[in-house]
Amino acid sequence: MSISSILNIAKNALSASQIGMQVTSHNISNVNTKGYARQAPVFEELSPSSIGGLLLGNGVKVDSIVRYADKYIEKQLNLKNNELQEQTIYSQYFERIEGILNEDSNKLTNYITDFFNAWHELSTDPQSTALRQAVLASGQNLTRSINNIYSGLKNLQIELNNKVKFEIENINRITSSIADLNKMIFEGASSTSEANDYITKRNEYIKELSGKIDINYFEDEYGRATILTSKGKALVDGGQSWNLDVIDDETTGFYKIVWKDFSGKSTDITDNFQGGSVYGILRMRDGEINNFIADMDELAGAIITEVNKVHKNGFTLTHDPSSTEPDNISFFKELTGNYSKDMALSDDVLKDIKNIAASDNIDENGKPIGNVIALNIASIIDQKILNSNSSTIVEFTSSITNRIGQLSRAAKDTLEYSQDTMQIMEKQREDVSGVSLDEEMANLIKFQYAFQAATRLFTVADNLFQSLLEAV
Amino acid sequence: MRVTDSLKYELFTRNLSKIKGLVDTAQTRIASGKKVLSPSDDPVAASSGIGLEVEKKMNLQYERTLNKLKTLGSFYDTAITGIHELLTKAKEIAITQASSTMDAATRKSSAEQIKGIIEQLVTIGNTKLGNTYIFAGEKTDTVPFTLNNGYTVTYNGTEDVSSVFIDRATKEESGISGNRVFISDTNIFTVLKDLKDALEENNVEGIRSSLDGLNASLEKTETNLSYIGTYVSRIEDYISYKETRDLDIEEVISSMLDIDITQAVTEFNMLTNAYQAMLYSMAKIQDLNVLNYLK
Repeated sequence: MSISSILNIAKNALSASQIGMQVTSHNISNVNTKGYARQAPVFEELSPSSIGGLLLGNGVKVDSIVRYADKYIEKQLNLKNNELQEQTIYSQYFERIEGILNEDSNKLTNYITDFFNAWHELSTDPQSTALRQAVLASGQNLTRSINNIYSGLKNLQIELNNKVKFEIENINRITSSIADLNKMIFEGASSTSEANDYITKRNEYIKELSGKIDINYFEDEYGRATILTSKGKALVDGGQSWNLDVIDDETTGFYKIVWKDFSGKSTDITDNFQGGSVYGILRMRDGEINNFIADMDELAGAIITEVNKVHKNGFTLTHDPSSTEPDNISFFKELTGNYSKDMALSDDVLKDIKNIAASDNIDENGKPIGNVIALNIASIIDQKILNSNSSTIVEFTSSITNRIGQLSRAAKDTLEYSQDTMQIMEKQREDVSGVSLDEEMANLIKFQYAFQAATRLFTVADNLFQSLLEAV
Repeated sequence: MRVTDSLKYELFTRNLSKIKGLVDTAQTRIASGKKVLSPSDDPVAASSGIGLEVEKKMNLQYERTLNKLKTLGSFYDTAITGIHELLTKAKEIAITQASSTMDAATRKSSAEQIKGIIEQLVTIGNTKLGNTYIFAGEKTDTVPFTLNNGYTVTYNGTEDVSSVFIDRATKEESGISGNRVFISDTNIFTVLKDLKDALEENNVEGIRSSLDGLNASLEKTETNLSYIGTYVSRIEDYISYKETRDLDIEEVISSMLDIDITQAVTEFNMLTNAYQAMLYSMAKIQDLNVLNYLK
């Protein structure tokens, strides 16, 4: 026991309080850092020295700096994020599709009705050219509206396809960052606390990755994370990461996702995903949008076929009087596929509105008489020509509206549910890991007083020395 | 439970934007007067709305067609009344000229009157409504009656008339054909031509016998007149039925898709109150900070 040991204790106490204040300021400064887990110093008494049969304390030391985190909650958060990001894609893109299919903007059914009404009108004055002009104009509105819906949907599909590539690039960036952080965590593992910030950062990356694809991960004894896709393709192992890549699929014209092993051999893993934004994007691109395009094709195809079938049996105003056969002119351009993309009026009709037929008969001079063709075309709107002859055109378009409405609504509801549960989980995580300024301020004061008390020890020791020196 | 600072702010912004979104929607609803702004607001209402809008539009189209038929009906009415007058006049001439007090000269001049009547009848037969010859049957753009030398008249139209839809799957004939009015059963023009010939030839017997034809013609014309009368009143009934139906549809659409303004405004007020309360409480919470007490 000596005065100098008081100085020594004071020195240790000072540095412990300083470390305490530094950790506290680190916490305070990261109060708004996403994913940050608060840290705290762990103080421990120094082993006592035995002096004259007495065990005397030697003061304090900082044993380690711990990170407040609950691995179980973080794992649940990652799973939830996987779901949340997938639902975000659905909600976002169903809303976009809804915008494209919304009757308020595209007026599809409106134009369809106008078109058939124009034929009704023509039936009241079947030789009129003015009414033929109206048929032509309404036909053009109809085809344009269908073409626009098609290109709207197609553009969305292309946008999603580009998004696939972008997300894959992001995943590669994340996995390589995780690999780098793994290395630093391994190097830091020998010391007591340096790895804390690396772990926080790495876990934030894992959370981001979980939002994109479904993954499995676990940590080894040094805290390094190994990450696999849920179907078992390695993405990160220790300091090593594997890249994903996209290649063109020749049949669809869209990207496929491939996993590359070290020899550079690619494996197609497009169908391997079960969750996350990438899965959402793929499902939107390859499933939902294609279904709506197929619906539009069915609609356009049925209108083209039925109208042409009737129209071809008609006699037009340009009918050659020497023939008694119908003119066999198509109203819509004949197509064999891609109906909604290419739907248009036939060249004959576009060239001359007199090529529009309203009559199914001719008189002795070869002049068309009557309005039967116009009537028959007008009545197509009430015929069940869609869904294998079970729906009328209007039933079909309203069922499309109903379907996108339901899908969009369900997506919004599910997203809201995911957000709410995510919020609950985040609250729980914050409960453990978040920084509370009140708490940190209290700690700061606590360490500040401890520091001041330790400096007082110096003064006391100093006084003791002074008194001794004066006694000499 | 530890409540941390960043969570406090994050929850605040999240809830604020949620309420703001609701306020926004409520405002758009009031501005547009619509309850269903996009299909996802109410998919069933939105899709039935489409069906009803089509119903409304098609109904309007049928009304247009019916109004055309109504105009057409009044044209027929005028025309056939005209025919009746001319035939009555011809009958008077025939009765007068059949009398033994008349001589060849008066009969000759009466023949000129009958010629005039035939010409007038041809003019009536060639009546046009817009581009349509109303008595031509299906050959609406062909002149239906041509007056030949010797006052015979040829009919160029068809026996039948076209039909048009006046409702789903209900058709109505667009009027009456010239064949039915002038030619079939009793050919008015032949009767008048025979009368004219008899007058010119001073053939009293012929004049008398043409009276039978004139009576038959008048009878036929009266039948046609009453046919057109019922035709027009039938069309008018349809029109008023359609107009009531329009209102019904309008009402259904409105109740399904339009807002109840008082309800919408109340809802809007409730939301803005919540929004203000939210801002107020945040301002209060901000004061509760340990830093305010550390000097």
